Amino acid sequence: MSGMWTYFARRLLLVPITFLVITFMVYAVLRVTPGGPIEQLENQMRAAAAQEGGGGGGGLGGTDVGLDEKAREELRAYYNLDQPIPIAYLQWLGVYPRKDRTPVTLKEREADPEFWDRVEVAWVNFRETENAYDARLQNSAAEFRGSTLLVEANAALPGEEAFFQRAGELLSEGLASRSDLKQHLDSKGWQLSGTRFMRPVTDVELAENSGWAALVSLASDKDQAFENLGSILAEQNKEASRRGSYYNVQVGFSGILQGDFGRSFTYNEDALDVITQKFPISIYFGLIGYLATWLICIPLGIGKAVHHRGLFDTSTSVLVFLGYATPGFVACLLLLVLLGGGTYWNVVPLGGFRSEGWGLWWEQGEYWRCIKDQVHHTLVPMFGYLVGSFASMTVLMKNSLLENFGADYVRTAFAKGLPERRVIYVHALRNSLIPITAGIGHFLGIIFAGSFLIEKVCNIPGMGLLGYESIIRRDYPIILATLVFGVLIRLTGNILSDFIWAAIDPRIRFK
Amino acid sequence: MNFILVLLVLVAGVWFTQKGIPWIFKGVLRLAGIRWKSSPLAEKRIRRFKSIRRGYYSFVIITSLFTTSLFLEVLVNDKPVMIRYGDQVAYPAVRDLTNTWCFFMDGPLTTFDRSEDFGIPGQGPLDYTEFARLVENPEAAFGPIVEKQKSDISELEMEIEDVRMEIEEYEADGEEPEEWLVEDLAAAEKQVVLLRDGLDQLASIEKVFLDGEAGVVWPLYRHGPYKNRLDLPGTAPHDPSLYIPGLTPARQSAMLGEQVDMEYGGRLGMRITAGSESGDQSPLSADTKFYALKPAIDSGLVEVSGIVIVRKVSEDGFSGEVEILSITPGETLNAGLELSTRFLETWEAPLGTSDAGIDVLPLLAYGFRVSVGFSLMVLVAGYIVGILAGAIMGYYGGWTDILLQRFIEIWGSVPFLFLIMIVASIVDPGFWVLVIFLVILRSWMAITYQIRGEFYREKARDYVQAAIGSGVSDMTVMMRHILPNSMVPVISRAPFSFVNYISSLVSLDFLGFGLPPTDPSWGRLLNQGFQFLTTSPHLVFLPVLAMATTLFLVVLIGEAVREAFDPKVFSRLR
Repeated sequence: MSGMWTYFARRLLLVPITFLVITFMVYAVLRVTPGGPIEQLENQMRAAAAQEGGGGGGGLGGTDVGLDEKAREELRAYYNLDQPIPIAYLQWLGVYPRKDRTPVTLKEREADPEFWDRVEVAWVNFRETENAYDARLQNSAAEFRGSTLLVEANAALPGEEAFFQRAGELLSEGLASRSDLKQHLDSKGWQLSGTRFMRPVTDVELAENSGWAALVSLASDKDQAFENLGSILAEQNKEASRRGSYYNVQVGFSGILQGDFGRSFTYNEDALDVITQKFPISIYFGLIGYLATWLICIPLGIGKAVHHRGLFDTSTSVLVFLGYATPGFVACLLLLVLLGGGTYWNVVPLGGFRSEGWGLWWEQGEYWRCIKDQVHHTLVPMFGYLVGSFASMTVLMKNSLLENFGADYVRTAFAKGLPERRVIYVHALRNSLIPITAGIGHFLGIIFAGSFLIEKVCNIPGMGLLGYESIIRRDYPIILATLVFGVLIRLTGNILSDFIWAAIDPRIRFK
Repeated sequence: MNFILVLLVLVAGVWFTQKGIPWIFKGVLRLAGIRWKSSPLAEKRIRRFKSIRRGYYSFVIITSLFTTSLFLEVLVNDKPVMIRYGDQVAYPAVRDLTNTWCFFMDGPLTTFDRSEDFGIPGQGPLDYTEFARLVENPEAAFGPIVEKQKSDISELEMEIEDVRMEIEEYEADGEEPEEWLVEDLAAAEKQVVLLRDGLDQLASIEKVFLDGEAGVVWPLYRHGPYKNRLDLPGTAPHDPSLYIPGLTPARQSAMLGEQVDMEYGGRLGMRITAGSESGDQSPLSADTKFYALKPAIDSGLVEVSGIVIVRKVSEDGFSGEVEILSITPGETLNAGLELSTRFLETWEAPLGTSDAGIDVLPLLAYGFRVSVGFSLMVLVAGYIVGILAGAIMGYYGGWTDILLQRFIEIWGSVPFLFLIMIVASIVDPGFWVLVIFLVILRSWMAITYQIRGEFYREKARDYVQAAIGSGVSDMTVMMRHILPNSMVPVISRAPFSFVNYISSLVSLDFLGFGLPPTDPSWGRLLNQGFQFLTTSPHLVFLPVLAMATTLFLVVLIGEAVREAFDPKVFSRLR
């Protein structure tokens, strides 16, 4: 027995490691791939602007509508995208301290006027230097990228004609060779700004050109002023953004380990709350589907085994093959077309968990109507879940019973003169139900998390549909939260299956 | 005629797949200097497989259909296989075929047929349908053009005559004719010369067509999976034009009556009566769509003047009012026009069209090729990786085994559909990216454990120990000695994995995270069916039918293979 306990201990030990690997992978993929929340926001703004402008803006005009650098920076901080991936991941996990920013209220400011006056002076100072910097930058044709000053390479510099010309050629080739162009420009630190080429200013030029030198010094002044502001605020654990909002900063651990899954971008609710609302719906359909599978597959499997190679077995085999050949959501689709009230019969609704007035009917005591409505909505998804695991379950039941028919204890039972029915339905059946019972762990994932295909087709607002929609809308906290629960349920489910197996079948020993 | 051709192609496909490919395969092996020897055991298994007839026939059907589908571009395409005009010959569909199979290179293959070279003025790509129309009936096609040109010329000549007279009048008066008159005259004369030249050219072009020096050879089915069917009346998705019970509305005819104002909204409506002079009388029902058919002039396609929908039915059910949904440009709906619920009863769009108006039949055919090809790729690549990993685990054992096992355990828990969805929601994965994704994330693990077990067992056997003892390299022992003896689980599992991969692809395409949107695929068709759930059942039924039939046949193969390679004998005492 001790070997078994170490086996399960090892399996359990592996759960956290697996969990960490998977979540880190998905977290990194989410962060690395383009199209994050900020880009989504910008796209929305662009779409809105295009609509306002009557669609006349066209492709290039749209780029003007994007967020400015400051707003982007603030959003990055808000979505925790300003941290490197490993640190952000650890913060999400809750084992690395994270800065929690809350806006400073007016009351707080009134409570300590002396301090806030100092802050205000520093802020005004920063704004002034920034304004001066902005004004000068506007007049010059130069641009800042990070801390390097870029100026337009309008005329080819001596010795760079060929480089410039090649860049021009690549530019004229259009979007297809944009990546080539970028590579080409990067090799000398050049940048593309609109249709202009920008080159970094050399130190010699900086010393010669007073305008540029002033710009650089103004830029550093501006940063200095902001740092001053920051250091004053830091005395009271506060921070400022470049747009002039002040935040209280609290450093602490808050991640999934502390039960903080973040706020959903789309629902603007705590991700955990969103998920716990969806759980019961998925569990309802999953459980009913699973029960239906049991109720149909086990008798069918027994029948097929008892009449092995008989007429019943062969004819139901067609059903099994069809079950293999039809995914669950396809079966749902077929049913919806046939019974959904389109071209053929109108028996079931086209999807959803319940009818809209369900709550009202329940309050009014129309229980029978409620039950009927619920059953109507349940039929199609139940059939989908049934078809999804019908074939494998039936075959598993059949084979397991057939294997037991060949076992020695069945032979002994027959030899004792027991009636056939008793041997089959008492001796053999009990043992052959073991693998089916143990399989319940593997179904946990489906029972809890639902199949997002079936939930999408039947429009069930469960976990699966939530996960699917969160991916489409890039709702990172929800994506990660559904992932966390999905993975945990699956991992524990698999171990649970083996454990149940070992517990009810003393012949099975894991090592 | 076409039916015989289809049959011929299918027979050729079967023959090529069952006889030709093995023959070529053996020939290549012989050329490479490898002698093909099959063990008696393998032969026995194959014999056993062939004796299970339903599995063997399924195998023949699936493999033959697949090899035939490799040449789909010349069988089902909207471009002709060959066009000829004088001594200009082009093979557009064959070019498509080579483009498909030589996808990795471009350049010489990305050419097109210029209209000019084939007798139709213009530099753009040739409109093959237009060309085919000219070939089929040059008189009818050229007649109106020539007539128009001729009448243009005569009109111009009359004008010239007028202008001349005017100028002569001026000259008779001893005045200088106005400058613009002279200019007009010169321009018109030039134009006449040009038109006459054009007429000559037209005549010479017509002569080419009339002499039968122009020709066009179409594929078996003249529509492809990329172009929408703008030639069909009404709006997409179209119902199947072939009568398929349950999918195509029952044929019902009616006749248009006089115009009335509809009760609601004051829209234009018309009275109708059920049945026509020749047709049967069956009661009307509300919301039935009728096509107004133009009286047929020749034996060509029936043309549709408009579409109406029944809004009101009288009490006896044999007359009512219809609302006019759309009228074909240039047509009018008059009393007495014949109405029918089906616009065609031909092979024009036998399976209907998708929501973008793309013919469903080519979509299904190309979808078959994509699905089966995709699953084969994933299967083969996954098995290669899986067998390698399993072989290494089973053969070396120890730490390699433990570490790889843990790795697989962790990797196997990655929710792969989830990851693919995340990535695919951002970049459109192509065919190959999707194959690689599925292999890396999922398919290779399925077989690894079984191979590991087999290798574990075989390694202890004497023949392996003897091989190792005689100093053969590890790789040789693994691949040459152990592997052939551990292929049984691999082969008997393959068809079922294959089914899984097809389902995976269909699911991904259904969700919109699969192949690029322009590629034909069953999953996307299903998705369109999902969107038109209540109105266009054929968009659900047809792809499901195609998929279920394919998978059903593959499952039959799988059963037979398992039976032949890994027979389970259940003893039973009574």
